[in-house]
Amino acid sequence: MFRLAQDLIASGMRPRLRLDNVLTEATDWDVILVDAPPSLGPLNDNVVLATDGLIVPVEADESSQLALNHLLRQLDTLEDNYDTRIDIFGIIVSNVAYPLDNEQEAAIEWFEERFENRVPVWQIRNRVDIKRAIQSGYSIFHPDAEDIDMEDEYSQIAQEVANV
Amino acid sequence: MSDEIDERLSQRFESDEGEDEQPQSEDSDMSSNNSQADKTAQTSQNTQKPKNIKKEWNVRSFYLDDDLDANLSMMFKRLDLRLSETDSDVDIKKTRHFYPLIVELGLERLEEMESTEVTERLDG
Repeated sequence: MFRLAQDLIASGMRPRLRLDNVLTEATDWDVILVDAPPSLGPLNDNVVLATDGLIVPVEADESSQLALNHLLRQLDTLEDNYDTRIDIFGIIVSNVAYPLDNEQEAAIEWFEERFENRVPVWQIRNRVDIKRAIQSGYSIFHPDAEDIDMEDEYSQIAQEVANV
Repeated sequence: MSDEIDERLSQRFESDEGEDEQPQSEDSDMSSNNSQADKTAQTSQNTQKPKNIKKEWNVRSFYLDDDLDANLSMMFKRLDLRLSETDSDVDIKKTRHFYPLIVELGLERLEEMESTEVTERLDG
């Protein structure tokens, strides 16, 4: 699906600014959250260039550190080519399972060392109730959702976005 | 890999980090000379101190009914407009300025209220 979408985008004029063109007209909303695809490419570039900033989801493992490196390179390239500034609002370390094993603990420390005092680093723990809420088609804040101890963490993330 | 990431991150956040130091030095001046500042002014100064309020402050979730929620949003927009019309330097932010101000003013008001007044209000 992504391949098809990327081909379509790449066939038009200013292919990486398509979403930016759309969002410029979208004035009826306080906040627009765009869930970007995990892979770097024209689709992801569209999101990065159209939005005010990024919340970067990672997992507590080494592959996410590598992915972060790719992302930072891409952001630098886009900033140079499009003469823009792309902000990172925060990092979400998701799917964190306690008790932490050594690899997870080291990975979380690695992210915190680099981003703390710069932007928030949130941890979302692995919770089956989050998956249940998603599968049921509603938010974890929905009245029918189970009480989840991650609500405050999600509220903080939402406030960070609303506060920008 | 980490070296490259560190380098890119320091370049990316370099300008932000430079801005951090100024408010801190202003804060120390303020704390020694704030005797003439009124409570509202202190609130405004205090809420501007931290760089990252999400880390330094505490989070609380509120559930508001539709009317109260709409009034809160409307009040923020009005205040934002009012401040912009007065050429104020304050670029008011909901989380950093507005919500703490609402809570502080509410606490001051509650402090003055008699218990009966509070229960009447809650019943209403």
